[in-house]
Formats: sequence, structure tokens, C-alpha cells
Amino acid sequence: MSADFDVIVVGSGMTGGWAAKEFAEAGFSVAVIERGRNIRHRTDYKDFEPPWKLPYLDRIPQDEAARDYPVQSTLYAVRGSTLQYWIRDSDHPYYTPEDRPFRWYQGYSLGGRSVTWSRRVFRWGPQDFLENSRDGHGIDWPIRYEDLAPWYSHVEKFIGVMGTYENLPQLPDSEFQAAMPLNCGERVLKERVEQAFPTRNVINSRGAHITEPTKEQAELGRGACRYRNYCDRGCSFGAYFSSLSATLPAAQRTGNLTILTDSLVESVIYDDASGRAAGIRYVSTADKSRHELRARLIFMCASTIATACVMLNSKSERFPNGIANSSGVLGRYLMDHILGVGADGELPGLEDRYYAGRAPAGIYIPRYANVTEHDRDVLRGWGFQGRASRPSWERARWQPGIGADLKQRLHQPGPWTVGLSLFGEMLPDKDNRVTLHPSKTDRYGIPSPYIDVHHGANERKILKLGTDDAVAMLKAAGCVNVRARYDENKDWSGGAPGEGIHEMGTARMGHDPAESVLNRWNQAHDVPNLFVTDGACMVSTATQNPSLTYMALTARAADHAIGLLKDGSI
Amino acid sequence: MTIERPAGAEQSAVRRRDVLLGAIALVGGSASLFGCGREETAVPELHRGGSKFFAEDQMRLVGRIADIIIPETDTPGAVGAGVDTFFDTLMAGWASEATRSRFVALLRDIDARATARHGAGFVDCDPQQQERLIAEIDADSFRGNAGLPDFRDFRNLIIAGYYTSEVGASVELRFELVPGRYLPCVPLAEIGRAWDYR
Repeated sequence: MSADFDVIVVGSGMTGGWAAKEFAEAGFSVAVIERGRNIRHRTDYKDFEPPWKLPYLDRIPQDEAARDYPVQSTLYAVRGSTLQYWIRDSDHPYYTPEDRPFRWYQGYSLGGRSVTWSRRVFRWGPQDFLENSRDGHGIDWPIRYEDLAPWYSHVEKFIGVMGTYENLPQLPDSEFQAAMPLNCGERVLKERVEQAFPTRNVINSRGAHITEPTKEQAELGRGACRYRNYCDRGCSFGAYFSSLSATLPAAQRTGNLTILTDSLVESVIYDDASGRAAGIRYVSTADKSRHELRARLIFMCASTIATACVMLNSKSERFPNGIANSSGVLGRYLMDHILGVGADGELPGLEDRYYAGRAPAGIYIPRYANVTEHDRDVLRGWGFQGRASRPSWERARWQPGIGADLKQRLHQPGPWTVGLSLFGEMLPDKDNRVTLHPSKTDRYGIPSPYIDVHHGANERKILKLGTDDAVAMLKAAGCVNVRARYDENKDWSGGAPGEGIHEMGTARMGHDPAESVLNRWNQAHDVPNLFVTDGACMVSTATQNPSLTYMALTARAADHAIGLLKDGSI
Repeated sequence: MTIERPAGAEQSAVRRRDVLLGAIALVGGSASLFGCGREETAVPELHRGGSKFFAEDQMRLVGRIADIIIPETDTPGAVGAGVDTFFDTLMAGWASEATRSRFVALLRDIDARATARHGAGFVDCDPQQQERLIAEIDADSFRGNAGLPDFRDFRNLIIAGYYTSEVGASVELRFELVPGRYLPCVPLAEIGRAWDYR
């Protein structure tokens, strides 16, 4: 069986970039296949435009938004200046039950959603790998924190993470560069909340932003943050981590990387004789022509739902329901973080204090429920992201007033305000799943996803309890005009599933091939040269933003696979 | 490419005005105020009639109402910052048919109110009458269903257009394209006025 490449990596985002880098640096030939268009680092970014150079207040024209971006345009990060990173919904249809909406924010272009991510970086703690087995929801993780810790370090040193050493057991420290300091409002909040709630911590947010470039980062053309906070337009300084700024250039300089854009992977080819994946089939989206590519090893990094769909669509005599799906689990246990709730308030005082520069930072309140507090009837937990700031002119929107008085008022910043946004854990549930639609296809004839996900009782409980906690913390901090982002009169508050943009599960890891798709090395139980290292591999969600964990899992899996390639076993 | 105003909070109203007029004079009274950035600019064309969506009389009405919402003080007002042109562009390129109809009807309604009360179209009323009428509508628009619900959206677009314009962001407020540093806690007096961002 001749191979075009040693390794095919499907997807060029957060994890695809890491797989490409690790294999290319180890001397293997790598093809990264990206369904979306090419994006050139720096050249294609719109990050030097001041507000008055962004047409229409950076909004998407209304008719275009309704016609082509009905889902995408509901997301804060989808604007005129970032539109090139997001799909047109009309090009990538998916379906849900009518009463169960799922918001799927899809970033198909080179670099994927690593270009537009919120750049929060938090390690999982030891408890996060244990809770499935403790409370019986989902299966046990086949790895523990200690298995991943060195790979967290490996990833963090390369990407650049700013933060403070806190020594919290539930949120282990990363390899940090200097933190972005708390502003005056955040310092007051920290002091008062920690005093009122000794079991809780308010810490500097941790993010993939360079504050002290390493030699390796400088060699890749990456520099320190300039405090513009235009990050999700792409950063010409390379100050935040993305595939485009870091992993793909690192892979490219080895000479071992080939990138194919505008190439949509349709399925994985299974070779019955060898019991291995032989390669992939893809469609060239420019002319709809069909192609095949062969390799010794396949890494699926297409993003959770896309990866699940490619695998479900990879049917053979041996795997009539999708490759590596002898368990029937493929597509199931789809999860997301729950959010959309929290609280806002005004912090009196500090009227004569302000800040300068736009830091892409803020505060983080790590999980405390069932970690340092055990007094509530709820499983798992939640954390909060937040910041303190002084609103500028935009506060006029909610208050009447015109004329010179209005201008005079807006000439000065508004009162300090604090917002806390909850990120909560979602339990794995067999019935939350993606399948292939029985009849609908995209323009290339590839079956469309059918996504059926709902939140359960524990998720609702977290949203309510967490909101109450946010209100209590703001009040304890001395805030006034505290408003809960939660409507008591609604059966459901918070967003639809998918709005966390942290899709996880569908090809979960596990010890037992009868109830999981992947082993402890992210390797398919059924197909030894097929690996899945994007969010699809996740067994639970924890409360932390997941990208760092995906990257660490990818680097760890690649290291294992490199061993197998070297000893000839795949 | 930071647009720095003369440092410090001591800028009196008079000085800010002088600096601005000086800058305009320097570049011949048109085109880019600060010579920063590229060709297109939010600074208004001096000659009207180039509107893309509104008729001339509607543009006058938009401009007058916008200038009542954000008047010229020691710094330019809405029209001085090009917000009437901005709003016309917004209607031509961004707004759906439904949005356009709402705002066209709003303008018609404001004109009709002026006529009913003062016997003259809005732009022909005297400035005090105009200001009183808009102040009333503004107050109403924040009281649930009373008054003109579409006014609030119109007003907010005018405000957004002003404070995201080059004049609004960098002359009336403070703007830095590349701050280059983060100072998490400084005396407000050192900054002098609000940044264009929160």
C-alpha cells in the first residue's frame, strides 16, 4: 500500500496545527487538509483598522445576515472584520429537532477557530478526570491528570500563557509568562469577594497571550501583546496563539508540511485486508472534483461535530455505521459548556481611577462547588470569567438624554462595572448525539449533520445556583444595581446548547472498546492507525475552557503515534 | 499610529476647539483631519447631494436631528463628524427594507409632529422648538410604548456613529490604535476623558 504522506491531519485549527507541528518536527511528511479557504497570517487580517474604517459599525448587512448567517451572526465574534473566519450557514446546513435548537458556530478557514477563540487557558485539575466514575455519569477517563501534566507544560511553553501562580489544587498552574495585572476595580473585587467567601478565589485570567516572548516565539515572528484587544480579527504581532501564528509556521519551517485548503474530507478509507485506515477521500470545493490521499496514519482534528460526521460517513463492510464504531458510541455523548447567565453590577468608588490600554484579560473565579464547598445538591460545578471596567459612550444606549448634556456626560467614563459570566459543566448523556441526516446533503452530496442535544436537570440547577452565587458575590463586593442574567419566569434561562462553542464528545476515550471509540492514546480501538484528538475525544467537559486540554492531548497522542511509526507497528 | 492630543487634562474647551480647527486648516479644510490612515475618511464632504439613500430634504432632516442629539460644542457635533453621511451609508448598505421603512416613517412622523405643533416642517422650525420636540420624543422613547419606539434605535445609531467616527473617538473622546502598554490603575486626571472603549 503506497502512501502519499506519512500522516494526514484532517483540520488545521487548534489541534490540527499541533499534530502537524509534532509530526513535521519529528521528520515525518504531513498533509494538513482544510475544508475552508486559505488565510495568510498578517496579510489577511483586518487588525489595523480603527473603528471609523470598519463599515456599518462593523455589522453584517441585515439582509445578508438573515439570508447567509442566521446562526453565525448571533455570535459576538462574528462581525464584518472577522467574517472571513466564519462559514456561511447557507453553505453548511445542519438540522435539529424543531424544539431543540443547537447553535453551531463553525469556523472553516485555515487556522479554524484557533484564530477567533477567546484565548482562555486553564488546566484541568485531578478531580476533572475522576468525576465520571465518582457520580456514574459517563465512563471513567482512561487517563489521569498526571498523564497530561507534562504535555500541558509542553504546550504552554510553546504557545505562551500569561497568568499568576496560585497553587490551587483544582486549577493547577501553567508554565506562565507575566500576568496582565488586575485593574483597580478588579483588585477591589478580588479583595472583597475572597474576604466574604474564603472558599473562593478571584484570580487573574489566564490566556494564550505573550507578555515575555521566548526565543522560540521570537524566531517564529511572534511578539508581545500591544494591548489593542482586537484579537479575534487576527493579530499581526502574533501575540496570541493561533495555528496561523505559531503551529503551522513551526511545521512549515521543517519542510515536511503540505497544506491543502478548499479540500473537504468526505470519509476515511478503510482497508479490510490490513484492518487499517488507508487514507481519506476529499472533495475539491472549487470544482467538486473527488480525490483520494493515502497515508500511514490519520489524525482527525476537524472539530468535534465535523470529525464525528466524517467518521459516521466512512462506511465499509466491517463498519456499516461508521469507521471505528463497533461500540455504537460514535456520535453520542455530545456535550458543550453551559453559559449565558451570571450577573452585572456597579462598583461604587474609585471614580478618580482609570486605566490605559486594552488588555485582553480580566478575572477568573475557579470552580468551588464540590471542590471547596460541599453544601449543595448539585453535581459537578462551574466557574466564572469576568472583568471590571468603566463603560464609555455605549452606556448612552440605556439612558435617555440628548444634546450638550449628553455629550458632557459621555465625555467622562461611566461608573466601574463588574460582570461575571458562568461557565458550567454539562453531564454526558447518551441521547445527546449527532447523526447523519437520512436524506439531506450539502452541495457536494455529503450527508448533513442532524444534531439532537438538550440540557438536563443538573444543567438547569447549575445555571440557577451559579447565577445566585454571582449576585451574592457582587453584592458582597459592595456592588449596587446588581442584575442577574437569569429570568425567574422562564423555564429555561441561559443559551441553547452549542452557545458555549465548546462542543465535546462523540468519539470518547475509554478503557473498554464496547463503550468507547478511542483508547488512552486517542487511538481508535478498532483501527490502530486512526487517531482523534479534537474535542470529539472528550469524556466529560469539566468547567474550564477546553482548548488547552485538546492541545495537550494532541501532543501526547502524536508522541505516542510517533513511537508506533518509528517501530513500524503502524 | 496613535492619535495623541496635546497631553494632559488641562485642555480647556477653547484649546480643544483651536487644535481641531488648526488641524483642519493645515490640510486645507477637507479630507483627512489627521493625515492618519488611508484615503477614505469619516470627515464629511462639504458638498451634499452625494447621498446614497436619502433624498436631499430627508438628509437635511437627519442632519438636523443628529446635530440636536450630538450638537457642536467645543468639539464638532454629529454633522461635523460626518454622522449624517454615515447614517445615509448605513441605510444604503446595511439596513434591510424593514429597517429603512421604520426610519423613513420615523422621519416623516417627526416632521408631522412639528407641522401639527408649529405649523412648519421640522427643519423650518426655530432651533428651540426643534430641540424641545426631540427632547420630548427622546424621553418618551425610553418610557415603554409611549412616543416613538423607533426613535430610540435611531438615536442610538447616531450616537454610535458619532463616537466611532474619527472625530468622536479621537477628538471628543480618546483613542489609541496600538496602546503598546497596559496601565491597570491610573488617575483619571492623567487620561483626562473617556477612552472610546470600555
